[in-house]
Amino acid sequence: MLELIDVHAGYGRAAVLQGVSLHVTQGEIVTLIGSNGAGKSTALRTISGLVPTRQGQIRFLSQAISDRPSHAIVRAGLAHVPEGRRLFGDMTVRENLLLGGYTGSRRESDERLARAYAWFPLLAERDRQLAGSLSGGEQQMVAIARGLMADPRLLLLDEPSLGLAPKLVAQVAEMIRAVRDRGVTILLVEQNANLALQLCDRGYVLRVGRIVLEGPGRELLDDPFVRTAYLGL
Amino acid sequence: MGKRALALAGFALLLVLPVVVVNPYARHVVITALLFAFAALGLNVVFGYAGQHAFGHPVLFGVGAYASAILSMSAGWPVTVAVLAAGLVTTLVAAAIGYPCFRLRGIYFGVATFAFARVIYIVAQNWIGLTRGPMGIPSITRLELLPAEWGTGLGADVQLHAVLVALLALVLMLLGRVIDSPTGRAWIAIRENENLAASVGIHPLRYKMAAFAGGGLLAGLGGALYAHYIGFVSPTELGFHYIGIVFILVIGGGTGTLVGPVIGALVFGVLPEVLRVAETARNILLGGILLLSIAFLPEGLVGLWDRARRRLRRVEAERTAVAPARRAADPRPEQEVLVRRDRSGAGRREAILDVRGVTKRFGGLTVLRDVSFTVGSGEIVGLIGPNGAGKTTLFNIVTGFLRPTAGEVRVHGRQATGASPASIARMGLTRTFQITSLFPELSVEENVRIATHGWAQRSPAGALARSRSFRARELEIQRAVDEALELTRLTAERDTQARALSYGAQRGLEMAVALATRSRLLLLDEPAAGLNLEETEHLRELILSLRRGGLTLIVIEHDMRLVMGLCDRIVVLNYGEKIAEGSPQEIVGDPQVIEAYLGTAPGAAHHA
Amino acid sequence: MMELALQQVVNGLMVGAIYAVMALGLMVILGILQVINMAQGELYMLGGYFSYFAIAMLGVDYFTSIAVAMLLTAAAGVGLERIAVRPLRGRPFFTVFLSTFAASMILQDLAQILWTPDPREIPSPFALRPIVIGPLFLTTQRIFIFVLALAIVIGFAAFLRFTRAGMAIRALAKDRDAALLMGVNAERMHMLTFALGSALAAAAGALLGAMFNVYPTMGELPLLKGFALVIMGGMGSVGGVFVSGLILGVAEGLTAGFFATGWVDVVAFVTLIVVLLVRPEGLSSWGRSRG
Repeated sequence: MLELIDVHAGYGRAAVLQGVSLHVTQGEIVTLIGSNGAGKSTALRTISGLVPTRQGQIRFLSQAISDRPSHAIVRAGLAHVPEGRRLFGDMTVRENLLLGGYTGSRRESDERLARAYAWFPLLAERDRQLAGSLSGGEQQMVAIARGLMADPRLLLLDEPSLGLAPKLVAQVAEMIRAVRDRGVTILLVEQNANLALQLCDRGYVLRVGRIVLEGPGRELLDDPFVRTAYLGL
Repeated sequence: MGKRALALAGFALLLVLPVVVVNPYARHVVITALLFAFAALGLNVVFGYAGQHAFGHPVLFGVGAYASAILSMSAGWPVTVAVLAAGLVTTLVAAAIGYPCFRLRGIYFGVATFAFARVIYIVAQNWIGLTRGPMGIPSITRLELLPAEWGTGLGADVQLHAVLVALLALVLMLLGRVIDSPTGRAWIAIRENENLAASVGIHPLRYKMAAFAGGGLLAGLGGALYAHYIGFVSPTELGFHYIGIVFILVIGGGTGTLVGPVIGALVFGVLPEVLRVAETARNILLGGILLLSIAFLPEGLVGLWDRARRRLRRVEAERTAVAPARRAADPRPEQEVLVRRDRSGAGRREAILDVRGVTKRFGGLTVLRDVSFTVGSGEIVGLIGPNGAGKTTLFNIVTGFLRPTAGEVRVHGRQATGASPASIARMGLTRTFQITSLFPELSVEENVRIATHGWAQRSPAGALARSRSFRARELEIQRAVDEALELTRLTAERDTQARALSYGAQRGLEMAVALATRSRLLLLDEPAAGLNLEETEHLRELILSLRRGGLTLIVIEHDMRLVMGLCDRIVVLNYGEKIAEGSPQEIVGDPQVIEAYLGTAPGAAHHA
Repeated sequence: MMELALQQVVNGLMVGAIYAVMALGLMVILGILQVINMAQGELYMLGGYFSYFAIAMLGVDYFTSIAVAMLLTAAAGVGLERIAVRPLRGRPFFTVFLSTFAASMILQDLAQILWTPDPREIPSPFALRPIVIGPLFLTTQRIFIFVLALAIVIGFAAFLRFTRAGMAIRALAKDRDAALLMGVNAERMHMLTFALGSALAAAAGALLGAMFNVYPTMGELPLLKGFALVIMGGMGSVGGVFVSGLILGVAEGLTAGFFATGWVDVVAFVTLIVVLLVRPEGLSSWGRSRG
């Protein structure tokens, strides 16, 4: 479904991604883990078009998306829930969600909104509340729901556990599984390696802009080399 | 042909221009252009060199004109005295305007200066008692520069022309000396990267004020002379229109260059007349010049000249293709100028940095909680922790970019809590930044030279007079710059623009800049980020050799191999708290540290 | 004394409402595109001229002429964006500022050449006889202009709040990256923003031009005052800008009534200086996101 072939990308003069290749097949939860500065967020931002690809190719559903603008990529069925959630704080939950459905028609948006509220009943209660007034866990829920409003085939999640208390992290994990069960493929970036590896089907370890390790989640979890590579030792 | 010779030739030509240009109206146009050159020079100081978008600054030309007119007409002062006094008055007005405006950030600063300019205009139009209102002040005493007895036989306008040219030449020479001194370098540094400038010891407000007021002096003098030349001054000189014109003169001529404003004033001041452009179409011409300038010539006419010269030089270099001799990368183990060996033997236990109970809250969020540690002289301490642990926030607090909510910071035993970045830099503490922070448009050498500001001879008097102590210090600075470049293997690239460097070289340049400050304590924020193996190894060697030379270093890093091989001690932060401190071996085995990095899985058994 | 004050207040409200319309046009361009549109005054001027010519040459009535002026000027604004702003994407904001400043100079002179500096008078469709309410003299024209300005402001606020395009624009202003990830087409929104901003300027020009006159340099002061209002009222706050506009209009009116008319313009700038000194960051509910 998604394929990165030797992708190079970065900001200004810095080369953050230095030849990343990975793939995601339908129905999987794939995770990308790595220490800070490894380039995880940059990888997602490059896929969704916020950061230009300098070299290499990105293919989604057999189309090349490396040099297409973000709005076209979203319309192609790829949604990105950014790091730090980036909700529109002084808009209501409803408005945030409707914005997520921007690429659909008015009627489609309304349908998707109803569906989102069915999946996340808690949000239906918070319908008219300002997004900025919600708790961390609720905000993460809104962020994921907003990503789903674009009716994507593939959802990119950037550090959903960031800043959340351990209790809430478990809930987020549940949410992610539920999303996959509803037919959305997921590419997950996380700093919390334990969480990510438990959740995923397959994982990639990123170090200084390159993939150094890949394999099924269970195996990576037990692999002592992950700890070494991950800590940068 | 050297730049100086060229400038002298230019001025000589300018001097004899009246020989060729005989038409009195044409001469008048030239003289007016010369007078406006003063306004352009003044604006160039604050806008071109110091990089401050002071939209209202050109109004000071009109202020000088009015001041001199009022002093000579209402107070009866002799013309020369009035002109000089007007210059002084304008400088004071500039300071009065600049001080409140500089508290503002971004476009608000420019807008505020403009608002002041507008207020001055409206005052001139309405305070009839002082300024005679919209009709202006007529019949101002004319300028008599040479007493009639000298009788050179030249017409008054030729005399004036000659004196103005001489005056401009003098101003340019003095301005050149100021620019090529710590003051000028400070202005340029503030323009290119104000935060970095502060972190190497340049107090931004002081220098911005100096640029604003100094530029005001030039503009005011020009305006005063203008008033006595034209013999009439009205609110038009304080208007919106004139502000735009002065900006175009500076931009078209070459922002931030020495002669640019003069060339801009002459060329664009005269152009409308030469092209015989109708009064009503002048704005189209000027607007068109501005657009062309933006599109094709952002560096103005001076830039055009530079480009042509570079192309010539490149053609010549290709013809005489000789590979530049490459010096072997050979870092001298002892530093002579940069770092004095710690001969006092004051011992390694002296605490250079003392962080006590530092807490930082942003609204409801506690980013740092009661963090304490000390760093002794000659140590290399590592500061590690997962993303968001608060490491950079801690650096920002220690270096004065943030104030702590609670706690204190002491440098060399002296209170440093809440001091400004520039003050802390002067205490002997310098940092590098997580995201590459340089003066991008300047050359490698210029980048490093700016960093010597803290120990340079800063007095403008010394720079103007080129005193012996000034020159001696500048020589010492040059030696320090050379040494810093060698240590970071950048000698061959000294003339390269900073933003054209490879990433690794840019990181090296950041180190060179930090070294040039002669600080005894360096805080490095992720110095190895993005470096390849060879570069990381060189970084390691560099840091070790710096320690041998008596420096103390604190390093934030994620590259654990580097941290292990380098640091004497490591402090670990997580969620804003210090969770561990000790030798590298102790830290790597600490289960709390491991858990902090790898994160807790929901419901998973903790790794013992 | 009291009657004079009241009269000036009422006059000031009307002028202030129009200032607000002008300011909102500036605000939306500045907030979404981070562009200081120095040519906004000329778009205001074009609004006045288009209205005049629509009546004089096409024979439409005053109300239609305002709509025509808004449409034509919106087109001009889009053209301005294409020529003077879009090619400079990525360049420093000051360069774009200079570009719009150059455009403003050129447009001003063009107007002077094409239409001469002589002021034009937009014929008023209203009865000239004033309505007298107590001590106040109101003309139908002034009432209408105030109501129309108010309607435009409300319409604009409603557009931002309730339409999809409006939401997209607000999202772009608050958090550009997040908005892009929602599928918002930035280029198209930029065009729309400029069109909106220009239409607002045109409306202000047509409205105020009917009260006073239409001439090539009429946009200079409203531009500057408009900026002052954006800063005082708060970037992103339609209500704040509107109220600030009213306050400014009233303050100017009282100044004109009790001091001399020459000092009127000082009010805007002195107030601006005071506001900036008290709140150096200005007021803003729209974030700047440099993704």
